[in-house]
Amino acid sequence: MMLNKFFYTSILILISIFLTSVFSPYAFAQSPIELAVTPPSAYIKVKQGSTATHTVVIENVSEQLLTIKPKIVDFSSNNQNGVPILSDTTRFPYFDFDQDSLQPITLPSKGKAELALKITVPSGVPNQEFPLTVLFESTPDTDFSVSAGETSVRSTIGSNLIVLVSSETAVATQLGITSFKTSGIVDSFRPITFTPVVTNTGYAATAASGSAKITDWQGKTVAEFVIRPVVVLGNSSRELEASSSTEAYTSVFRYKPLILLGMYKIQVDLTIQNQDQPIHLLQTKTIIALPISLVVVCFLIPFCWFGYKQYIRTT
Amino acid sequence: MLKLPIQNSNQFHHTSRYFTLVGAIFVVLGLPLLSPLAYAENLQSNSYKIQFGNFNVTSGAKSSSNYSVTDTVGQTGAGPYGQYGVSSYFIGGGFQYIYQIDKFRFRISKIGIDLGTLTPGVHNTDSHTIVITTGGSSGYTVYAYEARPLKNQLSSDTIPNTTCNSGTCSYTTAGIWTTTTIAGFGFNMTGQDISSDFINSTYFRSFADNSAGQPMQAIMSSANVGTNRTATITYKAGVSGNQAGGNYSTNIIFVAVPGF
Repeated sequence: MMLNKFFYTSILILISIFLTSVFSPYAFAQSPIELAVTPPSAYIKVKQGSTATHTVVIENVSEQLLTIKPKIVDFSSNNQNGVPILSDTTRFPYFDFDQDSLQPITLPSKGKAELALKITVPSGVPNQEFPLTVLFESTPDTDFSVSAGETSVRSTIGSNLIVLVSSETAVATQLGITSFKTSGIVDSFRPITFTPVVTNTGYAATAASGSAKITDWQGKTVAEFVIRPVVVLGNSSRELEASSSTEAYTSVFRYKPLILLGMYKIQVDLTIQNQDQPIHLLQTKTIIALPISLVVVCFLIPFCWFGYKQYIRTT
Repeated sequence: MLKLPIQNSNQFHHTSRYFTLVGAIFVVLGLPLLSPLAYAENLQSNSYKIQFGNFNVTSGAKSSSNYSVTDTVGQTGAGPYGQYGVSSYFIGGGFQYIYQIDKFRFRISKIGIDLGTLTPGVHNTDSHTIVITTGGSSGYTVYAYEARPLKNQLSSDTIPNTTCNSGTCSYTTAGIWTTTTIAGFGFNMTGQDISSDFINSTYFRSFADNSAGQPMQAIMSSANVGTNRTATITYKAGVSGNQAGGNYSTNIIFVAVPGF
């Protein structure tokens, strides 16, 4: 009888310890949180006097309950590589709702929610592009937050939305290659590297892709590159990247033979969509390869020898 | 020897017309039965039915020393339809557009950072990982900032953000922080796609302080498609001899956004 009581009491104590350890605030603070959003980026066009709805899906991939607070902010291009620079607020005036009315939502583990953004553009407003990011900031259920003295970590995930307000049936492209980011003279023992910069002076985002090549003084092609397709936002610039033929990821535009000598020509051929026709933008840059380092060494050797002889003579 | 009775010509004519008609009907109805059977996939079961399914001429992932490509050839209604800047809609029809509707995922391995009991002359650390998966060809960026410096929960005392050994590191640039007598709060990163100023595990930055209006800073970024791109964040804190006792805490916010 006493043995049974002891046995059942021990079981109850063990179960209590187990439940406490699993559901303690410490256990939840040590649990991962994971969010997923669809789509990562979207481009929509809305004419003046019309409406559009864009839907973003947020998913709680974690094992715990999360509270998600949506917020919409502007972003701008970093004029380099497609990294959005987030702002604190948005100046987009055509949502059918007030941002303050976006209430937090509670997502269970593996739960999903849709945020439908309705846009109404009045007639007569100017043509303009608005790059936006829809942010979802998560906080864990407050009953299981971190304990006193611990620093809490919060996760926010974003989905980009580029809204083009335009009455034009087909927006004219105003894209140009403005720089190659390389000097006109290169040392014979160093590689030719360049980074074409494309500038969009129009107000609408434009996609660009194409190819580049380097030819030598005989006109023979010595290097070829495929340019990875990119989107250049309105009134911004972007550096082009090469798609490597041997690697899964992008690479730089680089040509390194044993020795460079003479005149080389870099030619970039961009294909962009202008209204309903594809057009080609061709830009070239000439580079001259000289054995500069060799000349410097050849100059320094007699100079150093002369200086050494003078030193010996004086001492 | 059995002989067939000889029919008179009229009977024979009617009979032959009759048999000709029957034979024609038999050929018309029976010919399909004689043609080779066409085997078609039955795209349905008790629990599903696939409408508008199709067989592809070819599909899948192919690669060589010069390229890698995925394709779907022979599908129904392959897009695109519409164009950004031209039409008021865009439809990406076909299996290849799966890459555009892929999810963007962000994972943090834990949400509570416990730096333990801080004593002068000793640095305490804690760490976790962040993981990004993106199918978008423009990659991603992860930003980070703190709500405020580490603050005493019962007073206005704070543990200041670190300026590292030489006093030159900040929320924008990492520096070496190994001297344990130098107090402060900062973080280091190791792993994939991290900012280039985290040269090794001795380089620390402070977090951008939102309460002071400092803009959040990029800590991890890539321009490429990536699966489970992982970085480890190590938090470090130290106190001076005149730091008031108590529980200090703050909120660290990580913001992951896809490229465009």
